[in-house]
Amino acid sequence: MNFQDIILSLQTFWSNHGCLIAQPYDIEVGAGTFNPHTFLRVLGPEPWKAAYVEPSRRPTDGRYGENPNRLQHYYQFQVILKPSPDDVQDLYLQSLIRIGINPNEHDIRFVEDDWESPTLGASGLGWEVWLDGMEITQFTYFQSVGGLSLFPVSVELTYGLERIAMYIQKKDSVFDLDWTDRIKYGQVHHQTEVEFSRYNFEKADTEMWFGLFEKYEQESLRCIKENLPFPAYDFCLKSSHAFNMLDARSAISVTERTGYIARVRSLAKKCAATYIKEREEAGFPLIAKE
Amino acid sequence: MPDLLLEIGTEEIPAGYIQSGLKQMREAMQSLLQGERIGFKGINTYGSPRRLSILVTGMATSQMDADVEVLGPPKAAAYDKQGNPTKAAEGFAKSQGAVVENLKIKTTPKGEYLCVEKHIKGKAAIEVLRKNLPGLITNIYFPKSMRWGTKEIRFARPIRWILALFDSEVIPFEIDGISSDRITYGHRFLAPSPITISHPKEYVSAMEKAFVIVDIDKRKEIIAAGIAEEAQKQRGMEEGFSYDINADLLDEVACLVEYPVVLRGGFDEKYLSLPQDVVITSMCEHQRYFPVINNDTLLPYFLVVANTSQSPDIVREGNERVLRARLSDAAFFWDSDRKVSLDERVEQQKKVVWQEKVGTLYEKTQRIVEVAERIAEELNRIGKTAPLDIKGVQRAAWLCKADLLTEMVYEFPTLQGIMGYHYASSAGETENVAMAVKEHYLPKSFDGDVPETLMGAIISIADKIDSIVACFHVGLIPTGSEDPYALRRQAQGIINIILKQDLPLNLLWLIASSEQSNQILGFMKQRLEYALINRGFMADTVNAVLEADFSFPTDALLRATALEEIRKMPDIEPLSISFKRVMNILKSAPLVKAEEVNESTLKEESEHKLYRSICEIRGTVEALVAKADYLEALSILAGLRGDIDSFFDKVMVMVEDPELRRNRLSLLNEIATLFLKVADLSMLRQADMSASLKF
Repeated sequence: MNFQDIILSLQTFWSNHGCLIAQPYDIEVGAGTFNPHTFLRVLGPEPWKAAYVEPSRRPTDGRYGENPNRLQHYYQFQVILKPSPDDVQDLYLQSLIRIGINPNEHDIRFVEDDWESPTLGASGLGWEVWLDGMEITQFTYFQSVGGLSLFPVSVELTYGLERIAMYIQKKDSVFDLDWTDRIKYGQVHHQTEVEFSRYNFEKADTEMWFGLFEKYEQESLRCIKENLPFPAYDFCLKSSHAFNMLDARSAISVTERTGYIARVRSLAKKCAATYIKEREEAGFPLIAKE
Repeated sequence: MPDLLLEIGTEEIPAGYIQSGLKQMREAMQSLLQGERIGFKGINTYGSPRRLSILVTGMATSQMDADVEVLGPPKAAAYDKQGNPTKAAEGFAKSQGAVVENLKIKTTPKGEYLCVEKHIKGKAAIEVLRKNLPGLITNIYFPKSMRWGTKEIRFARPIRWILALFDSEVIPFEIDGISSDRITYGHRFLAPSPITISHPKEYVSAMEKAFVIVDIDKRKEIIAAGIAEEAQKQRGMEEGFSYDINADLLDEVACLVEYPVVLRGGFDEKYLSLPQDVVITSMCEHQRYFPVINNDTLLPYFLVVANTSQSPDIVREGNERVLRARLSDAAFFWDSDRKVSLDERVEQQKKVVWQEKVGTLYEKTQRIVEVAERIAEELNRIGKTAPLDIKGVQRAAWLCKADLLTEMVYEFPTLQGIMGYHYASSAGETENVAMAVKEHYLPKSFDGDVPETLMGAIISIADKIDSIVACFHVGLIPTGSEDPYALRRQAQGIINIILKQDLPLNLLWLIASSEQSNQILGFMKQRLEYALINRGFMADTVNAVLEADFSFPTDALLRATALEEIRKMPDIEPLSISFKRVMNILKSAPLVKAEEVNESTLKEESEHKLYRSICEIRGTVEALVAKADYLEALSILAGLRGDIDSFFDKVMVMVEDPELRRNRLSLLNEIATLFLKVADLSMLRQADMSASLKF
């Protein structure tokens, strides 16, 4: 099964199980969790089911396209289910069958892995799912997000698409993956990995990024004052990306690092609180009225 | 006699929570049944990632009957002046289903009260269980617990079913919408259909049929046997083959599977050129594989414990692929890390904060170098240890944290120090230096192994004493259970190293002139106390020794050994009583300043006698103390007992005459000074007291 067939199959599966098939967010994020379809929607009492691919950027993970397992830009397939269904583990296992992994022919394990995101003020409990010893999915019951304790509880499934594809296609390098039957992953992304590694580690204009961080933060705070949680959150994401860029350039000392993370977290918390307030005023419209 | 079975069915619980959860269930069940007067024969617990179970055998069908006294209103309120029962008395009788005539008066420490004696008929056991099992389940404590869906309860992971049987009957109850039943589930993939259990006795075998070995010890046996079997197959090919079953890993792996199957995989021999520690860590820590070792040499195989017997070839191949990726990462780090020199790594530490209020890692390294050098020079000066190469000590101290900035240690934090050793060796540093870099992290736990080399010991002490002094300096002082920088463990490490390596180091000298000297010394004293008690000395022996002096741990150890030995003699106890009198008088009337005894002022014969005895032995005792022969010193001191006792019998110390009083106090002070060279015997508990404490 090629890379895009895996994505299409997962989309079909989760669509059939009542998920909104959303699209990737149009702002740089470090993981699918940052997408407002997850970060904001898991807050408050309204039910929510969505699935989407999220291109994720982790500037410090770049390896100039030389390491077969590491990328500064990769793809996650994200499913968010709120409230978490009782049979979510079974659903997940069925989804694996859909992409050609029959759980009865493998050793599949749910191995403890608690998750925490200091930038999002979020934490959860769950597992990494092992397929014959390889981690293929993060499976997390969110307990708090944006500093708020959650009820009902959402469950997040994050499929590591490249890992899964490497397993299915029996490839030892991510760049050898068949994206389609004619185009390799490396043909799409090797150059971007080389260029962005150079940019992130060597060339990024730190002064510009420091300036952007400040501006994004200010704009986010202004939007919060104006009761505009979605725009405010966009700027929170942008400031988070600016921080990641500066981090990759080693422009931030370890002492300052904690301070910057705290500033992003403070924005995320304010966005979360404002979002809840706005939804409450709107009468939590996604709750089905009897 | 009926059996009870309770199984909490869950999504996969963390391996580390299972044993503790089962232990709590066992204890809670025991106290529940005892408290509720329900007899039982035995309790077994079973567990796996998807279930925590308890089986109670030979239970009584109901509670035992009980005779109880129920207290009512005070007597004064129960009868009027004429002695007739009041409304209060009648009300109480009625509420207890008794008649007023049968009420009794009970005298309690608070006064006299009305009382009714009742015979309570035991309730059916199943009824008691129905009420109490929900609480037993929800009260299990886990280090982290969670909520799920729309439920209010918390547990380690979501509860998906509850099986509760009393013999063949379901014990009916509900927890937040989850109802108890007789249904359970077998192996997630090998036996996915629901299973009905009709009687607790069937449980273990029914689960085994459904590919779940519920007994944790049995799973461990199966894994150990599987490893041995795979080893056996290998032995035909290679002589001297052995395998190493790491006990912690076995415990963990046994709690990660329900149906263990041991498979052997292999990896490319080219990875054997990596440091063995790296390969083993990749296997054990990340993948939970057991390494295969032949005469201390790693073989290119691994043993993985799968949770299924299906498709062993696919499972093996998948695991081989994962390990290949991990090893290729490790090889990549090994090569790229070595492109940067260790001195450059130390330079990089300028950018790393060690502790926000204290400063960078680079500054810490600089301090470690200074302290280590100072210790090494002191040891060379004293000359009791093998001569140290100061340059080597400086170099090892300089490099001791260099590996923290390598990619390998970033990826495998537990390899800190170990990689330091490998990188230093590979960069051509001497074996002594490389070894000291590795060992300076020891001990890793309170009672863990200490460095074996002297240089490693010195760097370790220097690093730890620096952490303690620096943290105390900025107010990061451990309190109660709060000790985020593990300063207690580090202090313990220093003490254990000093004792184990027999280093003649003085704690006061070691912490130098810190503003918090007294606080730190007190902190170190506690660790020394712990170390000595841990070595089996009686607590009061340790107190007596440390009260006299604790600045030289090795010396304290010798004195404790001598005191413990001499305490076997019958004379010591009365001696300690006499010495206590000496110390009590000195404490209540402290001398303005210790003065010489004036011989001409001595009046009574027993005074003269005591003074003569002291003068006779003083020189000998001091000489013995100087060569640390504390046992002999103590036995000579013990000879003073008769003189001290007759002194106290015949002589009054606190007399009116100031000169006489001062002289007698000085005499006592002489005794105290001599004894305190070894121990403060007044700290010894009396035998009758210590005996009574045992009961």
